[in-house]
Amino acid sequence: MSDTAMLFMGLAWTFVLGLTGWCYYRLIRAPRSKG
Amino acid sequence: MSASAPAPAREAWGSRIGLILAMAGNAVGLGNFLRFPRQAVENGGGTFMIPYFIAFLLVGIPLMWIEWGLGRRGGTRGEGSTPGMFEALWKHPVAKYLGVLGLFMPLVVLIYYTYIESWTLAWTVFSISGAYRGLDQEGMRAFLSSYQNIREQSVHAPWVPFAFFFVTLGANIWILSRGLTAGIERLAKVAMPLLFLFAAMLVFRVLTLPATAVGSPAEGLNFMFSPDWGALGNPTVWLAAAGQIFFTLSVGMGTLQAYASYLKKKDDIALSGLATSATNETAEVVLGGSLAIPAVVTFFGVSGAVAIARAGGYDLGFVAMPLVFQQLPGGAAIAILAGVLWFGLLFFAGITSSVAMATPCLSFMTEHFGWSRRRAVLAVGAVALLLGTLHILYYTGGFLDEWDYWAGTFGLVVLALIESVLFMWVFGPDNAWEELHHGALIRLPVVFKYVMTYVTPVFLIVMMVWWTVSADGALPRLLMHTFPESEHATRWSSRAVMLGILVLQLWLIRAAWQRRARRKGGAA
Repeated sequence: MSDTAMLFMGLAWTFVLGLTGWCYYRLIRAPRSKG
Repeated sequence: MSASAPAPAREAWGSRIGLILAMAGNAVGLGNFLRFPRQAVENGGGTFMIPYFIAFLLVGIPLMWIEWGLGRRGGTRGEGSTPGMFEALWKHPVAKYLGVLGLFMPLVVLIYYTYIESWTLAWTVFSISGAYRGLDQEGMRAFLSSYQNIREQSVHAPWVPFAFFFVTLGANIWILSRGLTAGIERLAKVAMPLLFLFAAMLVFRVLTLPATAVGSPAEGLNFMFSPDWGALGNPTVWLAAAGQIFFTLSVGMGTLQAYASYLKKKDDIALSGLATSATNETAEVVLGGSLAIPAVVTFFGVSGAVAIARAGGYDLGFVAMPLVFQQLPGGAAIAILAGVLWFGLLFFAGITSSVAMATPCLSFMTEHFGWSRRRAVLAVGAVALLLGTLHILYYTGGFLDEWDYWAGTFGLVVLALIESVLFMWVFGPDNAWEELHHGALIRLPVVFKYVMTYVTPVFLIVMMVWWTVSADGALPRLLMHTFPESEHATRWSSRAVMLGILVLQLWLIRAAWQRRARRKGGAA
């Protein structure tokens, strides 16, 4: 696997997994909905 | 609902995680695992990711928030479908009729999507029964072709596709009849973790495969993610990326709005909408991007994978992957297990989307005509059964392709453009921004207010114009320039049926509003 391909894959995975992780972290910490 | 009478209590989501899983289930579909890898490979590999993520930020996430906001606002007024939601934003007699697209497209897509979904169930059973064991590439293609064309009885008996379609539709009807929390939410809580588990197991197996004489998983990833810088200057690549974002997030369909209508006024939509989008992207980029192409490149080489990808997403999923499974180290048991995991995850991805597609019509009939949920589910099921059989009978003549293009592709951009203009321009950017922040768990970056107001609609207009005039776009398709003469009759018939559905739904909207006016008059 070339360095460039690995860089692209790494950036894409980091962005997606980072965003997903951050969202669920914030959701877990959030107070329950008051409705 | 009528303004003169208090709206009856609507169903509501049981939990925040249930809601997000149901929304993500709606978004994660067959396209995450079949369409995305093919699009990436055909549009510059790693370079595709640049316009893809730009479209995600400028079109995908903004539309996700618009649809959640539109849906929650409609729901608090007793409206679970776009005709009423649009009228709540724009007090004009035309508004409700524009909303017909949010009933038409999910119903049309539901009907043919359930048929495709039934293939995944069929292939799960075939994996276990060994029906395709030992077939080579040509044999496997004939196996799929015979299933798609019931007149060609070379492999499957004609009743087989019907049987799997009936069972799949029955499963959808059963889940929908159980209601929002006991049906849809419970399904999402079971199916989504299983989908991720199955996908993760397959990704692990694929990425740890030993290299063969023709390729390796690393070569597959290299093929997926190697940039082709020349592709960045090609507008087709940008539009393909934007199109993929549309399909993958299920925006412009009417389903996200329907699900969001079951939120309460102070429920968060900012973070939940973002979490739904992110979950979908994980399924697509991390899991979908690491499965089919690396597996196929390992056993067929790069040139073989290109040929398979060009033949279409169905060839990738239903021809190439079963062949890959038969070559996995470990013999028949591993082949069966991999087949069950792959087609099982596709089935879960499909059914969590198809139940969402039925929801706008169910909401419309229960809210505007006072139907019970059970009656509405049976009616939608009967329509899907009747019209779904047409897809089985005429698949090879282009019947399904017409529905997929007009309702499942072009129509999405039209509805997205209408709703973004209504929400950001007619309702107003300040009102929209405030609406999105009711009960919000995060503060959205203010730049998105301007993106949603200016950039997203312009992006959508450009997409719509391009999709209309390009060589294989809406105009040449409409005039049948891109199809062989032999398919014209089937395609025109397919369009006539779609038009019939659209006219019937427009008539139902008119009848619903007349009914409402009569009730208002009676109450006065």
